[in-house]
Amino acid sequence: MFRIFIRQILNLTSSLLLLCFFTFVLCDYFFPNGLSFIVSSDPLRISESGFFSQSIHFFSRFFEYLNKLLTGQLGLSISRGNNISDEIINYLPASMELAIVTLVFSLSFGLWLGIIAAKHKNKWQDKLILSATLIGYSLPIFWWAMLLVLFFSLWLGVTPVASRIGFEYDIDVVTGFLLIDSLLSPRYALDAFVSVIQHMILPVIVLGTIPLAAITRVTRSSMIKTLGEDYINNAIVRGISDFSVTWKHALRNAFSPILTSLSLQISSIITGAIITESIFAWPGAGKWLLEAVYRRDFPVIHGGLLITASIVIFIYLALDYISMWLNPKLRDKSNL
Amino acid sequence: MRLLKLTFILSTLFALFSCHDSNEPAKIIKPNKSVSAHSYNKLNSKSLEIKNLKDKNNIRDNLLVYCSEASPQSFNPQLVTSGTTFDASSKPIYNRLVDFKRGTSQVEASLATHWDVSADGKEYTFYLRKNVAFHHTKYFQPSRNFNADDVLFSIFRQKNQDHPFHAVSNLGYRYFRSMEFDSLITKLEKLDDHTIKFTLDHPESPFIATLAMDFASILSAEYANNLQQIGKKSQMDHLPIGTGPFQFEKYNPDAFIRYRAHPNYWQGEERLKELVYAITPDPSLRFARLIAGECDVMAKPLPIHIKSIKQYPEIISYSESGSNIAYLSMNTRKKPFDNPNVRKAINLAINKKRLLKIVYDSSAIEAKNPIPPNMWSFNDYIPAMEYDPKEAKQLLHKEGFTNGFKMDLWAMNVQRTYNPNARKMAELIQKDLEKIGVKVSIISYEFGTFLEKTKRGEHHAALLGWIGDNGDPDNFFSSLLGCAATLTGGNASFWCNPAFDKLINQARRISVQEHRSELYEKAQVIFNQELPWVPIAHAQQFVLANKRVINFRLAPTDGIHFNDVYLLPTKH
Repeated sequence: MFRIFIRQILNLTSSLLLLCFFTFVLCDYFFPNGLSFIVSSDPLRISESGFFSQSIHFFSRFFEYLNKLLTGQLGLSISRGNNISDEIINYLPASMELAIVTLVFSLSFGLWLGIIAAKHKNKWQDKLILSATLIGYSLPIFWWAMLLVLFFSLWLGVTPVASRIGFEYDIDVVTGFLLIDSLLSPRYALDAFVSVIQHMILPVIVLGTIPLAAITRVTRSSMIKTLGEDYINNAIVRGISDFSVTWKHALRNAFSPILTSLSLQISSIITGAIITESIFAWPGAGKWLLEAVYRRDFPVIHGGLLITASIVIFIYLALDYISMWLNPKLRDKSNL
Repeated sequence: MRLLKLTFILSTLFALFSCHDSNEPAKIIKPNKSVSAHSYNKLNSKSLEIKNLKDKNNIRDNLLVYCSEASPQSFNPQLVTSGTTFDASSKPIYNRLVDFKRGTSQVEASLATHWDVSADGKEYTFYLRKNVAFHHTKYFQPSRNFNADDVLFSIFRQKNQDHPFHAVSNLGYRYFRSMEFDSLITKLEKLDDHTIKFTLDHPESPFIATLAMDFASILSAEYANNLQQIGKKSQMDHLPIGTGPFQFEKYNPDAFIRYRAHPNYWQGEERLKELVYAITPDPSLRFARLIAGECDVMAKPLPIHIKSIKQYPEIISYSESGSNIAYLSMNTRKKPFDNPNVRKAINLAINKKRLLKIVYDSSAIEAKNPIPPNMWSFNDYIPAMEYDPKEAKQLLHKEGFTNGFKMDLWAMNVQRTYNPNARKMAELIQKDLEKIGVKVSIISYEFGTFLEKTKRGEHHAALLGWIGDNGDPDNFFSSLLGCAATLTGGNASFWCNPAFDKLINQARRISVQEHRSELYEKAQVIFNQELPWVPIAHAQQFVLANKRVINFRLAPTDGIHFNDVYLLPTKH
């Protein structure tokens, strides 16, 4: 296990280093002025002194850049003049809240629907679920969101149209996660919390549709395979309850491919978040990045790219560990 | 057995959903979302529920939500030029020495109660209002009221390069520069705590009107000193302190800005207790929020929204024939646009009526002069240029362009007040000019780049526009067509006509409006002979609002104010 750990750390550092190199080359090539915004807290002075001019060797520029990143500085936003690390801390919690709830939503419903489909293989339930996932997987997010807003918010009026919470609730920011913050402000009792949940329903459905469909399909196929194994038949013959057989014995063994697909879906959630957040005026990192693209705020684009890419790398790593923990075979193999 | 389980699960799910429905039957579309939110909370006892419900309805009755179109760049109006930022900073938070009378472009006394102008028109003495309180907030508690030091600070920060706050935020003071205040104001002195004197380089009649513009907002000098002592100068531009009707409470970037009524406002506390700007860049989403009652006022609706409001009895539209112009600027430094006859041919060949119908949905006024018709000195005797492609073609033939020529037409890709869809306009113009043999290729850049490049004169022709800031014609003539503006880039036609320039400079230095008007009318005649532009349209500015919003008015200078606005209580 220790050796795997070391290997993973090496893997991590090398991919992060590659990422930094990639972003540096991009900046250096397309937007050399932006570099001075990234490396310096006083961009005007540095561009005057020509510190980052092309005359200095490529690699020494790269190491200077790396040095700044290691101290945790991402520079200043061109359009707003703010420190980018501060901005990220402002925006990230909203996105993380949305992503986590979406993940829980799509995983729980995906497993549940996938198992139902697997257990009723080739019956009407299976066919219904399969065709629904096919539709869900191919839905354009933008159109789907508009449709849901039209139906649930404007016709039925059961859900709010946009933003994270009703404006009558003035919540102080503590963690940035409104689900927690709303419970922390005693003024509104549970009302604020309910308002937060109401505002989450549509964005979570929109963002979760594709991952939900993907997880459902993977769960179904993986479960069908596992449920046909001899040890499952054996368990059923022994009289172990139906629930226990599916959820405990079969699911654990069927989980490996689901986890792999989950890690793929996490990147789809992050890209989907950009669209979802701008549709629902959700003040998250995705919307922030999109606005930065419109404003050509290169340092912000750069910082956002770096942060989201590192988050994805870390999540993949964590998922690797979880799958090793779930599947002892994997552990043994990598020990060899 | 399994089937039974499935049906059970499904039925509970259905029950759950139907429960949502049955709990909020008719309240749904009502603006009051808190009611529906509340019905979930079954844990509370009934009496408590009714009490809470009342409380929250009261909050919503005194809370106006305005769906704005973008995040502000800063909370200091000195630093920026965008209307969105002014709507969020100078209008609610600050006052100026003089302000525009609400809904007009006339100037009235504000932080200055009255003023004297010396006989030579070079010295302005302002007598400042007493007992004007600054905002009292969590981050700053003022110890004194407004006085002359605050005016000095606000002007000197922008004027003096060595001022301790000059370099803070590093965004420059573009408006101050473009109004040429740094050379115009030679001296500003404090005579006593409530009297100040400006000394100008030369007489300038629009001076008072210019002081009502957003960049001339008065900031707190005491707050600045405090921040300087604790070494947090940049906080000045993020957490504002002013004297205006609303005080800053909270800003969640890209989500909302929250203001509270300033309890010691010198004109009396506002009836609205809270004001929220809900930042919603997508116009369709803004409209949806307005219909659902999440917003009370919606900025910048699309023409299709204005058409469809008949279906919604609770929504009304406000419009104002804005003080703006959309025009096609021809770069007179590039061939063949140095030839006035070619420029005239282009003018004749463009079917403006069709542009107005398609691009503005017939909601704009056709332009013939560089200023809008509701502004004084508008010369109405000049005949409008009629669409006449035949004559245009003849003119081109006469000038030797028998086979026409090729040109680039630049169009921005963003929605502006004066031009909702410049790309579409460019395409229509492309068709029109094709008829007289001129081949147009349309070029777009991101808006900032677009402006930068047109200022440098890289274009043949560009679709541009202007929103008047102070209700003075000089703001159009000097900024867009003066010879000095060819250097700053405001004059993107690079058209410098000595006779025209003489007239407008003369008009700027005298103060009798009738005499000025005469000079401007003459200048418009020259403009129409030379035609450096194709003046296209004066767009109307629209805002949609719920009927509950009372006393709302639009200003011709393109800004949103919530002074004196209040909400009718919701019925429950």
